[in-house]
Amino acid sequence: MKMKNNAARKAAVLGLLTALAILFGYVESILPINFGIPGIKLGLCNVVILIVLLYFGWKEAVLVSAMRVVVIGFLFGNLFSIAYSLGGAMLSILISALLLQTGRFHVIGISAAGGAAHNIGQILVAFLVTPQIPLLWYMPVLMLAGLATGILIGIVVWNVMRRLGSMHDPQQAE
Amino acid sequence: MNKKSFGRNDLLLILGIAAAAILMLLAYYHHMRYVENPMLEITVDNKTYGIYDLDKDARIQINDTNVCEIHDGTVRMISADCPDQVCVHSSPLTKRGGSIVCLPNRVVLRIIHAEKSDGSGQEEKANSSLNSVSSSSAGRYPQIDSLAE
Repeated sequence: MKMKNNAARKAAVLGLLTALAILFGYVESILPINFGIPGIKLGLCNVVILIVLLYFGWKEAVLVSAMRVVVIGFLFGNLFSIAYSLGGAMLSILISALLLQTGRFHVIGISAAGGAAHNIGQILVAFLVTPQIPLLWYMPVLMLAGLATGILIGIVVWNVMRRLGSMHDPQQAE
Repeated sequence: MNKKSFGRNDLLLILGIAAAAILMLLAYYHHMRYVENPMLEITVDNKTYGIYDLDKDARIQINDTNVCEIHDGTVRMISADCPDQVCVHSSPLTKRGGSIVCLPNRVVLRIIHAEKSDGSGQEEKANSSLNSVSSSSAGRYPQIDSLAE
């Protein structure tokens, strides 16, 4: 169910969701690094991004994602991290949107693939910046990690969707 | 909206990606099995900074931004002036391979192999830069070590 009828309300909701995504990014930055390999993050923001993709569409997802990457990058990261995050986020949205489009996949599957794509995108950007990195070793590790976190994120999103239902706008009366 | 319930497609997708990843890992470790004499290669901004023997404990200062240490056949980045410190917290490198990267400072610590049976590009670069006198398995720095003693 897409919400297109009220542009102002849509802008407000998207703004709220963007803020939520940024908050998730902040929480994630506080958590101590639990993996020994750089670049493995929990991807908590993707809960919000996936919700935007499912309820609004890919363009809105790209918008919210780009905004949260830039803000989080300026707040907690550096110019490099913005580039990597952007690459990862965009590839993730691309893959997720395509999978969603086919209509053959459940949220959990889409999120798992999106998570793996996110990490692959990040390492591709890193490879463009510093071609020295032995891609062959990082890629599969990040793919598996992205897959795992994607599944977890997918379970979260699935539960949110079950409670949110098909209409996330409670006000029926227009 | 997504009305599809979790089914076979999702499992295939997940297992497919996992399988692809595992295949890549196997390919990498298989690749590594034919090598001898792993060395630590340090590059800064894509230019070789130095190549070091993993069996010799050493503390190496890289420009004035990073310090790494070879100890017991493993390599760690022990200090760096980068804000995220990801390199410092990375798992230590062993002779099997891998790398530690400090992206803000463009420093890469990498395990390379001085002698290799199937001439792939990087290893040949290591060969020429090591400049070994004999063509036998002496792909090390024995001359330089004896000079340093």
